[in-house]
Amino acid sequence: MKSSRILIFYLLICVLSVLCVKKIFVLHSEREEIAVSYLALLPEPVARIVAVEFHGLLSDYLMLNTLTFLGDKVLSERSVSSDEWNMVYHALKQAVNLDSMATDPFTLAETTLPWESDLIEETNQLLLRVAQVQTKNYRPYFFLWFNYYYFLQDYKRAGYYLQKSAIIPGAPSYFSTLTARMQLLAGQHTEAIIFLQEIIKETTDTSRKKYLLQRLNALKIMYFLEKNIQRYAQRYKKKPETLQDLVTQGIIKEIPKDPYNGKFYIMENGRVYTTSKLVNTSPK
Amino acid sequence: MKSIWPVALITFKEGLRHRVISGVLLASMLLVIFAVLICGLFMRDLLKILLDLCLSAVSISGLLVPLLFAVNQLAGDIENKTIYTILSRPVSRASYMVGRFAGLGLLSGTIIVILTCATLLSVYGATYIYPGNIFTHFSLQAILLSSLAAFLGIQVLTSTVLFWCSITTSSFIATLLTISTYIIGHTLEDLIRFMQAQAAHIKVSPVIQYIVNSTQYIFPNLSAFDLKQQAAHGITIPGQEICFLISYCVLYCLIMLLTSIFFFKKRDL
Repeated sequence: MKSSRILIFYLLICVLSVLCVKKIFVLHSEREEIAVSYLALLPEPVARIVAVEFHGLLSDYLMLNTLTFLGDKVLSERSVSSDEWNMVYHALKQAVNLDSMATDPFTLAETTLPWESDLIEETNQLLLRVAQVQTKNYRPYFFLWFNYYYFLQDYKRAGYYLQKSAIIPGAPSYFSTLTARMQLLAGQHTEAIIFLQEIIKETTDTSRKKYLLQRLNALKIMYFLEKNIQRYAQRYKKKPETLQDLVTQGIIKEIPKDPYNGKFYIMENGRVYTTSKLVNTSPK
Repeated sequence: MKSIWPVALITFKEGLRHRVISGVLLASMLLVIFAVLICGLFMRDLLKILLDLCLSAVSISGLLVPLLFAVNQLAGDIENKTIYTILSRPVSRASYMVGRFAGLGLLSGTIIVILTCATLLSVYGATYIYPGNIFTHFSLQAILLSSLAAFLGIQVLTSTVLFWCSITTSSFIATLLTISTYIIGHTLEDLIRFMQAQAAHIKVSPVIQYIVNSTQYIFPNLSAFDLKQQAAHGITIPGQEICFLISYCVLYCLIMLLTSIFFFKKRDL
């Protein structure tokens, strides 16, 4: 009798403990605060002292922390505020400070920060820092090329970094021809598609892959629409005023849907863009 | 000299009796499973994460010997008066110190060998789960050198435990001093580099610079024995550096042992 009472009590406290864990998890999920570790904000020498001999481990922790934070936002389709992006940048910078040979922090920085925040210069500084250490890795210069080419439209500097990337052993052979194509295709989405395909090829994490594929799809649609605008211009000797003109004249069957739930439109310079700005803005 | 081996063997057996090895074996089994699973959460540095976790576990487990077991043994011998039983036999104080050091070395060596095997096992297991191109940076040599360096670093720290236990009367103070030595040993090199890099921008007093520079010759440079990051990225350490690390370890341990023996002989038990 006594032992059965103890067993019931034991089971009861086990159930209560499970309920507490679940409730705490829900409360933390609802909490509107930055979930990236505050270790990210420590001055770099202090962080190295705090890490003692476990620099790599602390860097991994920050990386995992950032990945889960962003993964949660992507899966729940919630937007990331500028303060949160700033925190993500600091976390990745700290991860690089603790282990400058790691590839995940700068890859994550490149695939998120310039696209969804204004931290392009900061990302470039991070990439330059990594490039100085990882002299046998072509990716940091490749990413720098892309940022200068696509976001900053500084083709001279972009070409400089592409050349630096192309001479590193292991760099794809088409890098050397890309320099010439850059002048020809200046401002087109093809480079962004090449860039994303290169990253997706080496990404194993499913949530990151989903995130990158969504962007790749959107860019492919924009490229497809721009190609058809060129076809329209060649046929009618004038540019279409709206994308609907392409459908009306039978050049395309319908305007494809934006994977980010926005609407594609033709900008003043004739380029195609989307009202979503390639960012998930719909709140949960 | 003949009495060193029995003391070393007793120390090692005491370690086994404390279930240190069985605890480490259990931890290593958990580590193999945990590390393989957690590295899948990352993007492409899977091998780096796996080795970071496993080699950190090697270091942490090895550190348990000087930080917990060694202090407990040495200071405990004096506190609990068990040292009289040992010294009443034909064992000199010097043999006692060297024997304890050798036994602790044997214990930490066994732990490191077990956990290095567990590390290699987890890498082997991960190759079946994750794509093969992730493991291109794998270097068995780098992993083995990292474990060897961890072993050497732990011997250096153990030698400082001997020193602190020979001059203090409490195991608590000896533990505190060992932890301080560990932290100083791992941060000193970074601190000196930081001071040198900042010298142009911030005016650091020459006295402070001199003190910090001198400290590196007194406290062990434990960060030199940390080759985990290199192993995680498959970077092999040049033979020359390994030779210097072994020489530094042997010399520092000898200095510490001789100093400890000197103070221990003078000590009124």
